[in-house]
Amino acid sequence: MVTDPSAVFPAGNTAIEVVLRLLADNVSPSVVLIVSEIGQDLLIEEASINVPQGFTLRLPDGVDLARAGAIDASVKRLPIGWTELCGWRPRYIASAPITNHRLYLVVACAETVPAVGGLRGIAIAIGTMYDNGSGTTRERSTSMRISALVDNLPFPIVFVDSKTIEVFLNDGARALLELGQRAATEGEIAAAFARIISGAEAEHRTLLANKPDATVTFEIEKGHRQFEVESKWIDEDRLTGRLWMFRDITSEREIARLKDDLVSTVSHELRTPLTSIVGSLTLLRRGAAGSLSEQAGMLIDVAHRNGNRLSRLINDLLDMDKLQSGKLDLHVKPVDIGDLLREAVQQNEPYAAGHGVGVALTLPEDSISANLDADRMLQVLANLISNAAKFSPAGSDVGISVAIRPQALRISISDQGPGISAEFRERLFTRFAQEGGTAAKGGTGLGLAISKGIVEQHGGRLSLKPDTSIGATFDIDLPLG
Amino acid sequence: MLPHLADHRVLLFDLPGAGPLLPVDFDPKNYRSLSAFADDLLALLDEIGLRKATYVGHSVSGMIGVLAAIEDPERFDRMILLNASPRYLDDVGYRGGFSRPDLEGLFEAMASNYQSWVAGFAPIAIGGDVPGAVEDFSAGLLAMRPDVALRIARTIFESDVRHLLPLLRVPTVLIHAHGDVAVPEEVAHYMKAHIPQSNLDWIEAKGHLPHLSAPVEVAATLRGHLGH
Repeated sequence: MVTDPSAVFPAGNTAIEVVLRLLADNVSPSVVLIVSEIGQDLLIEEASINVPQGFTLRLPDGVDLARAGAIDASVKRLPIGWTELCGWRPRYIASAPITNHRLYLVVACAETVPAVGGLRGIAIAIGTMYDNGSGTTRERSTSMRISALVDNLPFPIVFVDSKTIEVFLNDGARALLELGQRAATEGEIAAAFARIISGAEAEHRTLLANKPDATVTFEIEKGHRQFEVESKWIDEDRLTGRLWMFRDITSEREIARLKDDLVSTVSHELRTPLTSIVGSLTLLRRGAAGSLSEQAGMLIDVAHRNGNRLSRLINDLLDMDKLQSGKLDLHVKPVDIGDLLREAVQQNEPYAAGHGVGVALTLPEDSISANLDADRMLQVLANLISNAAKFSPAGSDVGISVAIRPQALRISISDQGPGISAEFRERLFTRFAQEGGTAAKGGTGLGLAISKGIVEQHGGRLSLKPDTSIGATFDIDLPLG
Repeated sequence: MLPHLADHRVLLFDLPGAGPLLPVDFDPKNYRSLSAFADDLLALLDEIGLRKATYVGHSVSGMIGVLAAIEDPERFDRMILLNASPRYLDDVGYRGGFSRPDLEGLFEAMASNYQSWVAGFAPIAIGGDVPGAVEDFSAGLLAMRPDVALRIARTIFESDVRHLLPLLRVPTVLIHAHGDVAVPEEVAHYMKAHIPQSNLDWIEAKGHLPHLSAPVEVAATLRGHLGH
């Protein structure tokens, strides 16, 4: 046994290598290693045999690196890397910490149990040799240029270089990834990063995984703060990799939320008094307080009409609020589509007739049933039919038709009106969107946004056919079965 | 291959990094050596409680199975390796099919433009005029994140488990196709010579992915060895 190797060999890694070989010869067949810990794995720093650079081993069950000891691997599963490294399956694995260096001396033996006491002494001697010589052989390679750039940006940013598979990140990103100031291993960074990205919607993760050069934007929440994450594939001459930028949008979101809360509260508070105003006006019109003069009757009619309009607006605002906060409950049951559409036509025919417009319903021969909330779907249909009627020339028909596709159902509502301008198409489904002059037609500007919300809550899609030459056609696509 | 094996219970699994979705804590750096994949395989069999199976593995998956079977021979009644190789890189007295400059060129091409590398590599690997097979193989490669694909390609092409072949104690069938750009015929003979209980079967198919380009031929051979 070598007792004081530093007395025989000059300090430095070459000497340590020789010590390991001598040790390995001492207990044969065996492999002697000096390892450091990276995460769950052991990185081989020195070895008594030739080992490919960067070779890591998984820590076997039962090995406690902090204390000198040995395990019998013949009775348990051993990570296969040990067999790969040694060329035979180790029977015993012994280890001892190398004091003050976060390194460990490890011996894998095919037959004999190594003497743990002796190993501990040698580990101490190797520690002394390291004190006198250089550090570990592994040094993290960094590209100074990218590092300097990334460090100085004022928002969290991460760059993953696809050529060297190096990860660059600045202090902001460190804080976001909870990595602290010390140099993190690539493994730790990748794991922290994976945790962050796991907060993204599945569709974004799929896109990232399937389309390597995709640009993806999504939001994540981290410690009560919201971030908009933009991920871009960079493909420059000397720089290839993925760039991740994080924008703190917490205050933007907070303001939007306050606005929504305000709308919601105000609407609720307005509804109660308005109900009694409209109720009282209704009673007055019916002559509950005696007959009215012609002029008083006209004024009451104006008040009543506008009271109803205000009431519709408030109901729409409350529906919008429910949709946005996910509180719109659907009462879904199997509904015959033919019955549903006939009822919608019946409800909206009088309104269309008021515009001199008819409603033409075309149904397929076979009856179809779908799972949906009939009341909410009637609300959607009423909105689309009344919109269509509003914009149809007198004497024309609003057409309603049904198409069945595999797994899906399409209800189309079309009119022969002036169509919808390209500019307005883009914001058609947003709140309070109205095309010029529409307000005069009594809409609240919320109908389409609400309809879209209700259809989507059913797992479907509401869309405007992109290329109709005459009028506008809205398609409600609903999943079947 | 599945339709040809309808009367067998078949367990299919994705190697980490191969599928379109990566596990949350997946780090390609943990897969620097084939043994990591083999550890995962045994952990998977533990988890689903599969005590005994015939292992069928193509290319690198063949060697992953071999490593798992060396660690836990009781788990496997037979190994069937399709176009497998214990080392892809040439060495003194050994022709693996790739020289060091070949490999560096390959890694460089993968890193600089992954998509165009796939477009070039897939038809060569298939090795015959089978557009459907080229498309399947390309789709599989394109589903990988380029940095992950590069790290795993390094792991595969730098692997050398020749010294472990004699440790395999499970009966092994080696199935090889001719004209395989990644596995020269010598490699098949090398494995036959170094795996103790092994048989070598040549099939009438070309290229590195005969299960894609000639599934009927591969299935016939496979079924012969599965005893049906």
